[in-house]
Amino acid sequence: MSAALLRAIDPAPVAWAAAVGSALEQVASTALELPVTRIGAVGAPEGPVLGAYIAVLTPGESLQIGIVADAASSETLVRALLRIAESEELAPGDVPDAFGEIANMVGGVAKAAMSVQIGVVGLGLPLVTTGLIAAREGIELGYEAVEVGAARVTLVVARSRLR
Amino acid sequence: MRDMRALVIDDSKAMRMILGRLLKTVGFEVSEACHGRDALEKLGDGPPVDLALVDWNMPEMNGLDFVKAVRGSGNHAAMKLMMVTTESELARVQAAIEAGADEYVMKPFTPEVLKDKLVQMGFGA
Ligand SMILES: [Mg+2]
Repeated sequence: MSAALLRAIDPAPVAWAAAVGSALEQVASTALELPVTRIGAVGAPEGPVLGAYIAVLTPGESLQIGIVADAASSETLVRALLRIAESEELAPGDVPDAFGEIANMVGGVAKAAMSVQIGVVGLGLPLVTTGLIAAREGIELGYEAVEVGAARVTLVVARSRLR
Repeated sequence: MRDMRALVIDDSKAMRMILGRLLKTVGFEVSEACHGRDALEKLGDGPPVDLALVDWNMPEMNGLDFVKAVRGSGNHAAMKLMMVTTESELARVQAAIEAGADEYVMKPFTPEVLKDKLVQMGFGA
């Protein structure tokens, strides 16, 4: 597909945001068994956060799809995924690993939804880190606040066009 | 009759834990591998395995290459291979089946979906 054609059918960032939000709803209802409330578009979250990101590469753009949360909220999601009660100890390393797998599932579902329109070519491996993707020229960043059970998380979509 | 043995191949420890726990509830003895190459090594020196659950996106050797390697080797011919992955496009499913995967489950899944697939494959009640 030509670059010009790709530009003409550029799925708006809202399409990605919607796909990522529905993907989280699907992951929450199956793998986490937690209810989801979508709060809506917000600014970048403040304070220390854990972020799990997955790279999606399409014919026309490169994306990072992320889920970020503070320590308490990321632990809530991880406990839900692993079915580990509050009273039980989490092993060291379990939170980043499981949080990364949540991002992997969210990215996979969003990618599948978007590929119908644009032919997605690849999904990377999850990267878990503290902090946010830095804003810089050429990167379009969008955030959506979502409540997942008792956890408050922010979904991140960072897009850059390939030229 | 000997116990059924399963190998869970996924780069996420969380996913290995979830899948392993589920397999144990239906009577499997479970071992784990963190990518395709690790799985090939474990199959090489271990006892025969009845079922492998295979993630797609993993470092070192991905799940599709693992399926190709196992089916291409002619070894472990009786072992069933079930892909358990976020890769859900039809083309990906077809590629895995052509390479020799027996079943395909998309992440995220509910325990019921996975158990139903196991029953369809002749494992568990
Ligand atoms: Mg994986």
